[in-house]
Amino acid sequence: MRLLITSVKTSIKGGEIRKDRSVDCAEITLGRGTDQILQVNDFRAALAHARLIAVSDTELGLQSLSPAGVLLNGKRVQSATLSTGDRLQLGRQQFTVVAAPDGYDYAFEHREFDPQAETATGHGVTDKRVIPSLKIGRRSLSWLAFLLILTFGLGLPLLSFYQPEARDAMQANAVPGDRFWLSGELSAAHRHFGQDCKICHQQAFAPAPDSVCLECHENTAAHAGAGPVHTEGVHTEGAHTALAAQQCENCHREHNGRQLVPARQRFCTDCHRDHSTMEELLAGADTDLQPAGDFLTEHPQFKASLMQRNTRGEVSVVRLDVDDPALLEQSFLKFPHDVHLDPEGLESVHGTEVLQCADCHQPDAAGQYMQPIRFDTHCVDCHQLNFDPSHPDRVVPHGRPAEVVDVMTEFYAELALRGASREVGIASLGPTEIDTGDPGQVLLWARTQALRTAEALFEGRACGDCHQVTRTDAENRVSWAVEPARVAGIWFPKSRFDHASHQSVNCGDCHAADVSDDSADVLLPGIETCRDCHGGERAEAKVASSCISCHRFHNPATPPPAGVMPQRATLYLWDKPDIERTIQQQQPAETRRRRPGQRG
Amino acid sequence: MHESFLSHANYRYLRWGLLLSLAAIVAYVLHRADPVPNGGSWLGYTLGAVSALLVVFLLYLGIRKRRYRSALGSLKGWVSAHVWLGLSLLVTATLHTGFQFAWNLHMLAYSLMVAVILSGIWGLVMYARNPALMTDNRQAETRATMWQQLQDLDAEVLQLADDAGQDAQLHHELAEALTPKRPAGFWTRFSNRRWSATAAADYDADRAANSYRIEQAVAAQIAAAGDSQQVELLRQALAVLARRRAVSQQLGRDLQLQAQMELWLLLHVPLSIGLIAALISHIVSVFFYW
Repeated sequence: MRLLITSVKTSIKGGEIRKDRSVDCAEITLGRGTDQILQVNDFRAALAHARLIAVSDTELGLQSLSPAGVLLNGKRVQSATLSTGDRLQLGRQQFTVVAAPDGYDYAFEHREFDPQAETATGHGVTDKRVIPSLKIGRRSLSWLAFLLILTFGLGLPLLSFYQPEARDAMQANAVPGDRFWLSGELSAAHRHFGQDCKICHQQAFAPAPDSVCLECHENTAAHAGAGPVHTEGVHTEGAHTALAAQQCENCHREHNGRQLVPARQRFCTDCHRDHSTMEELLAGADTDLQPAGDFLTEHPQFKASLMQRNTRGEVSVVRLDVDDPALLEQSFLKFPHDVHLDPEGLESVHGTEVLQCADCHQPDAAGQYMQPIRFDTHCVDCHQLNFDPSHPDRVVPHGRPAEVVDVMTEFYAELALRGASREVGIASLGPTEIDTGDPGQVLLWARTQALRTAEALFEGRACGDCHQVTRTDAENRVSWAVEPARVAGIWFPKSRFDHASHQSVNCGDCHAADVSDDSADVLLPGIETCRDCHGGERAEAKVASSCISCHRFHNPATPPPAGVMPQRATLYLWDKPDIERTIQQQQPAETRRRRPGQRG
Repeated sequence: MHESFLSHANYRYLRWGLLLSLAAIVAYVLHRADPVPNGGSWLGYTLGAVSALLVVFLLYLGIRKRRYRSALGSLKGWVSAHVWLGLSLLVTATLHTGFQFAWNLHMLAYSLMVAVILSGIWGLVMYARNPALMTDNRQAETRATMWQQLQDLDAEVLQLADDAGQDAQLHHELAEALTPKRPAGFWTRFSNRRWSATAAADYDADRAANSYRIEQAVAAQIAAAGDSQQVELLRQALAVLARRRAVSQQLGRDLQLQAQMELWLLLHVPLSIGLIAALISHIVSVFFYW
C-alpha cells in the first residue's frame, strides 16, 4: 500500500511548515526502530511498538505490540479501529489519520510536541491554576447556585401560597414548596398543620390571627375571668386589662419544639411574685390572691375552699389556710376516721373487717380526684337500714324521711292485714288486737307502729348514728329534719392534684386519717408536706415543680360553689297533720320530750 | 516593614469583631428567651439584622476591590475588616439561630454562610502557610524545570533499559509505567499521598502503584543479569528511577500546595453567591409567614 506522511512543524514565526513523504509498504509499523514506517523518536516507544492493518479503504486496525499500549484520542488502548480524524499518540509524537489524496491508500499527519508543550496534552503541570477546571465555569456555577436556591427557597414556596393547584401538584410530587420554609418543629398537637402552612398563615406578611386558634379553642377559659378567652380577653379580672390586648401567639410561640405551653415559672412570677405588682394588677378585684413565687421558698400556705352556712341558712364559700385552726368542715356528718380505720378491725355482718382507705375512697375515671362517698356503695354493708328486729331483712331506703315512713307504714299495714301484728319486733303502742276487717283500725295501727319505729330510726341507731337529725314538735305534728351531708368535692379548686401520679405514696403520708376522730377535721396536707418531695422550678434534689405543675393559666377566677359543692341543702320534713293528731294523742309524754342528740 | 492585612491599623477590625462577638454573647446569655432561644425574639431579630448587614458588607468587598479609584478606605483596610468581621459573623449568626437546626431553608442559608466562612478561614491559613512551604520544597527549581527534569529522566531510564535488555520486555514495562494514562484528577492533585509519591504529579493512582513494582522489576533484572555491563546499565536505570521519584514527589508537593491555596477561591465566591439567594429567601420567608 502507499502512504502519505506529512510532518507538520511550527516555524519560529508561528506558521506551519509541512513536509510530505510517501512510503510503499506491506504493513504500517509504529515504533522507535529505524525500520518502522511511522517512526517515533521517543524512548517511551518500544522499537516495534504497534502495527496498523488495513481493514477497509478508510479504516485501519491498530494492534499494540507493547503492553504500554498507545494513546488513541487521549485514551490508552491496546487495539482499535482507526478512521479519518483519529489521533494516535506515542511519547511526544502524534499521528493523525487524514483523508488520503488520489494515488494514496492512507495518509497521516505527524506532529511532535516539544517537552514544554506536552503540558498542553492534559497534564496541566505548568498551567496557571493547577486544580483541573470544571466543565462549567465558576461564574456560571455561581449563577446556577443563585437561581437554583432562589427557585426552591422563594419561587416554589410563593407559588404554593398563591396557587393551591400548584401546591397540590408539588405535594403530590414531593417537591418541598412552602414546607421548605418550616422554621422549626411544630408542637405535638399542631404537627399535622405543618402539611398546610395556610391553615394558620392565612395572610402574607401578617402574623397568624387569634381567630385561627379560636376555631378549635373557643372554650378555653380566660385568665382569672369567668368565661372563655374569646369573649373576655386573656385577663379581665378587676381593673387590670393589660393582658386583654395579648394575642395567643404572644405566649404560645409555635415552631419552637413540641412544647407550646410556656412552662417557665417566671412567666407567672413576673406578675405574681411581687406584692406591689399584685396590688396594682388586682386593684378592685374581689380576691384573696397572695403573692407567690418559687414553690419551695415563695409560695404561701395552701388555702382550702369550704362551704359554710350562716344562721339564716345561706351557704357561702370561705377560704382558709389549711393550718388555720378555724378550718373545720361543716359536713353535718358524724364520721370518725380513726374508728373506721381501727387496725383491730370492725364488727360487720361479714365478721371482723379491717378497712383500708381505698375501700371507700376510689379514684374517678381520670384517676385525678376521688369519687364521692355514697351510702349505697360504701356504708350500707355495715350500716344496714333494717328497722324491725323480727324482720331483719326489711330495710328502709336511704332517702327522704317521708319516704322512709311510707315504707314502714306500708309494711306494718300489710302485717296487720295478714293478722300478723304480733310479729313486730318493737313493742306496739296501738291496740294489740286489731280487727282486720276495719281499715281505719288497721291503718291507725300501722301508722302508729311506723311512727314509733321512725322515732327509733331517726333519733336512734340508724340515721342519728351518722347524721344530724332535728326533731320538731309542733302542736299537731312531729317532724324530723335530716341535715344532708355536705362535703366539699374539691377543697383546692385553684390547683390540680392528680392522685394517679402519686400512687407510690401512702394515703397516710399526706392525710392523717388514722388519728382523726371528728368529721370536722379537714385532712388536707399543708404545703410543707408537698415540699417534702417537691422543690421549685430549678430544684435538683427534689422534684422540680413550676407553677403550671399545679395551676393553670386559663382558669376561671373562683369556681362558683355549684361546680364543686354538693347541692343538697333542702330540709326534708315529715308533715302529715291528719295522722299526727292521732299519734300525738296516743304518744306517751316521755317520748315527746326527746330531742336531737339524744340517742335511743 | 511589611504589615499584613490581618494586623492592619493595629488590629482595629479584630478588636471590632471581638467587641461585636462579645456583645452578642453577653446579650444572648442575659436574654430571657421564651420558650427557647430562637430567631424570632427581639434579640433574635436584632442578631439577625446585624448578621444580614454584615453579610452585605462582606459581599461588598467583591465590588470594592474592583473599584480602583475608590477613596473609601484602603483596600487593605477593607480586606482586614472583611476577615475579622467575617469571623464575628459566625458568632452573631449562630446566636441568631438560637441553635435551632432542622432540614429547611433557614438551615441551608446558615450552612452556606458557615461554608463560606470556613472556606475563607481555609484560604487565610493556606495563604499564610503555603508560600514558605513551596519555596522550601522547590529549592530554586520552577515547576517547568521540574517537569523538564522528569521528561529527561524518563528518556534516560528508557534508553538505559533499552540498552540493557536482551529483549524488549523491560522497556515495555518501563514505558507503560512512565506513560500517563489520563490527566491527574482533582483528588490526585490534592492528596499527593505517599503511595503515589512517584507519580502524583502526572499519573493516576494505579499507574503510581506500579512505580515501586517497576523499581523492583529492575532490581530483579539485576539479579538475573548475565554480564557485568548489563548489571551496570540496570543499576544506572535504578538510580535514575530513584531520582525520578524524588523529582516527581517534589513536583507533586508543589502542585498540592498550590491546589490547597486555590481551593478556597473555588468555593468562597460561588458559595457566597448561593448565600445571597438563600439569605434573600430566608428574610422574605420569615416575614411572609410572620
